[in-house]
Amino acid sequence: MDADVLQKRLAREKIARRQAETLLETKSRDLFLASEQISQSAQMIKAQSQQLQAVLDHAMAAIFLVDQEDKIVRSNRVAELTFEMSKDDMLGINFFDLFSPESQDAARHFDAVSELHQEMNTSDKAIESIGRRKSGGTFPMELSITQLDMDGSSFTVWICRDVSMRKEAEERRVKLEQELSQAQKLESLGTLASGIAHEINTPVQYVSDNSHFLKDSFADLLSVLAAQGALVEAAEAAGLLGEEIAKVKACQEEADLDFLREEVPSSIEQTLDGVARISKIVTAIKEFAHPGASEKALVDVNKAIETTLTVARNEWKYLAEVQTDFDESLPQVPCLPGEINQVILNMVVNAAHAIESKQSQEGQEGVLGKITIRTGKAGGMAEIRISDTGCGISEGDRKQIFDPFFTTKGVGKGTGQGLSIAYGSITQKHGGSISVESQVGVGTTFTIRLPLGEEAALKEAV
Amino acid sequence: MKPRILFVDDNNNILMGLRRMLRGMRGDWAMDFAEGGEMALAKLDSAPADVVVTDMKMPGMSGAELLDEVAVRYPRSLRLILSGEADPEATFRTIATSHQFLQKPSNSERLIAIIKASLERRGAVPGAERQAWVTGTSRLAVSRAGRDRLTPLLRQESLPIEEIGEAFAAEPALAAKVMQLANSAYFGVGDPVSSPKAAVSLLGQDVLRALLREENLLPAFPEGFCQGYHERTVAFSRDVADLAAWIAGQQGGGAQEIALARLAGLLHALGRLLLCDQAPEDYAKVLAMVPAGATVDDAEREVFGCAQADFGAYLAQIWGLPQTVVDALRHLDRPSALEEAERAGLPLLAAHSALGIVSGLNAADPLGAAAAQLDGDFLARHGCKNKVGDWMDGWQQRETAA
Repeated sequence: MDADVLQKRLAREKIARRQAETLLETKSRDLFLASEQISQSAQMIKAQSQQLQAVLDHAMAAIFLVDQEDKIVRSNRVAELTFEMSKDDMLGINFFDLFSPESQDAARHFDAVSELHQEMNTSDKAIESIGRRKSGGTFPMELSITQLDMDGSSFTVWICRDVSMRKEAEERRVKLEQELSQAQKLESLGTLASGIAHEINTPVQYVSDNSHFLKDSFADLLSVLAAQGALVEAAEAAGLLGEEIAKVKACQEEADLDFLREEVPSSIEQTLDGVARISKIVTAIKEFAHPGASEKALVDVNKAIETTLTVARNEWKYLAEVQTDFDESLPQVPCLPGEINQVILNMVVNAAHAIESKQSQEGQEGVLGKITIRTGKAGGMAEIRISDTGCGISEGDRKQIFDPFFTTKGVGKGTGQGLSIAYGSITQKHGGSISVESQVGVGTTFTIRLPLGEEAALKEAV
Repeated sequence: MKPRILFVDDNNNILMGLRRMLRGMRGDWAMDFAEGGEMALAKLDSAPADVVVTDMKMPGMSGAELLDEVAVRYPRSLRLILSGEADPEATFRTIATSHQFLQKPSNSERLIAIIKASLERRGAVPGAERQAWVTGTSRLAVSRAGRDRLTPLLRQESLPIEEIGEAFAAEPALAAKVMQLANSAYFGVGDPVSSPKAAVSLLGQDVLRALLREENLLPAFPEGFCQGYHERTVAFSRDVADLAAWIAGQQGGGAQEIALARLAGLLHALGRLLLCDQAPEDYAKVLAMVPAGATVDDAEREVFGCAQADFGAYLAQIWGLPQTVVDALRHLDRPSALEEAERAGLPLLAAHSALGIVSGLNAADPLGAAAAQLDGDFLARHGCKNKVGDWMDGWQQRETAA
């Protein structure tokens, strides 16, 4: 081979190598760029995934990704907090175990229905259900659901919102509204009652005045009659005016004078009694209704109880005897007069109903039970104890009696609000307490304690 | 001449009923009946009445309007309302214009007792003009100290009932007024109230506020010769009230008796306050006589023809204050003089002793000065003759401790 050929080959190879080097350089730059891009994308993906997780974790709802076997595949932080479980506890368990037993079926049904209607967007449909925390406590939650497919398998996304706060707020609002409407009802009733009291008082005044007049004047007439009787007898003894005397005697016979002498005074006496009763009832209604008393005043609790018993007499008179045992030295108690009357009324009516219920259970209708009301002082508080010999309250019910709308009474007998309102009024508005002791079949005692005013409490302490 | 009583009501049944019911009083009273305010004024025009008893709600002239007229034309008449009214607004209208508000139905005994006792008390005050000072008083002047204490309290948005009650209980004018209101039939639905503090609490925020709106509750004593004396009399009354309550407590009195003793002590000079207010020029004569050696009591008797206590008892009676306090006021001076003074019992004993002790405190010989004021027979009857020295010591120790 000659040098020339070799020379040319070398030159070609040089070119080829230069080309190869250039190519390598280009490729490696491409590679570098690609790798740069990949790492950037990776970082971006990581950041996005973190963002996503953060979004998930900060969503105000528990979110679960659940596979076809109902196993939890993924969950967020709120889910852990809501159900009081760690991520490890949660992954792989059956999603429906997070429900209270009685609401599992409904949740499964919701799942099945939404699967059937996958084409519809079901995420905006929500149902209410009951969740169960690891500690066993249950809470109301709102559920919504979305079905999705990934890599050929289908998953369900569950969004569960703990609505206990909202529920509580709503309950508070409803309760407040009830209290308000109760207060309004009481107020209008009070205004009405005092109006009626006024209407009744006017005729009572003159019925009473006239009866007093009849009583006095009949006594005067009787003394006139007695004098005339003496005259008749004297004339008769003297044998005078025989015809006229016979007429007078016939007239007396006809009018049944002896009967009138006896009965007229007692009939007037009874009328006056009745009028006094009416006037007592009207006064009691007026005091009970106490319109316009929206602030605390010193109340004679013993008197308030008497008044309430008078007003509510119809509720208890055929069911029970009422016995009162008052501490006459009890000082006046600062309270809302209308509410205290209402509370005592509720207690007395409850006692009467308890006795009625016992009577019908034991088939002893007509046998009077007994309601005893005692007042006294205990540790700087005024104490009212209302006992009945009624059916009693079972231990289970005792826990709920102060809950709103809880009632064991038949339809139309109770709304389940009486004790709950009493509880709210005594504990919150008066800073007192209300408690119950009861034995089924024997009777119940409610004890209300109200703080005495500062001055009275001081006097007690000395 | 029999006292004349005029009853006014738009309901004739009521008038006939009253006429029949009070038939037994025909020997003591001349009674007349008017169907409505206009007819009442016409009747009064021909013959003024000593007592006017009217319904509240009537077509045309209301009871309050009628009594406004009566107060101007016949200031000496006693003005009573007998009503079944339940409307608070309407009732406020009657506060200044009527002496007492009686609830329908009222039985004859109560109505008769109130009118009889009022006329009796009036009988102790000589002369129509002086009697009219009492019936013409709808409120009494408040001391400067009392005004200073109450003005900021009454400006607060939520009235501090407790503090206001205490301030009222320290001011005779306000204590008497609030007791009148609380014991009137509309407000006093329960048992009679025996302390101004309880009365304020019974009336409560709403009523007090309405009162502030409708009434000038704190009239000042006018500038003048008697002003300083008025101020001192109120301060003195406060001391007597505190001591009377303390003595009643020492004697084992219950809460009610202590409250009544305090009230009797606080109001012991009610008549004097009324005279300073209603007849300052005449009262100046009393004060001029004192430096010449007369006692205030004697000077008052000479100028006004009766004791200041007679004025006070008359006012307390027509304002419907507790009967124990009215009785105590009448006999505070010489309780043993009248047997019926026994009715006032411990409150009278405590108030009488407190008055004597407080009067003597600044004398050279306090015990001697007190003893000179006190009714020995009365104290002896209650077994307290030897306790005066102890009470004085005990009280002074308490005062120094405080």
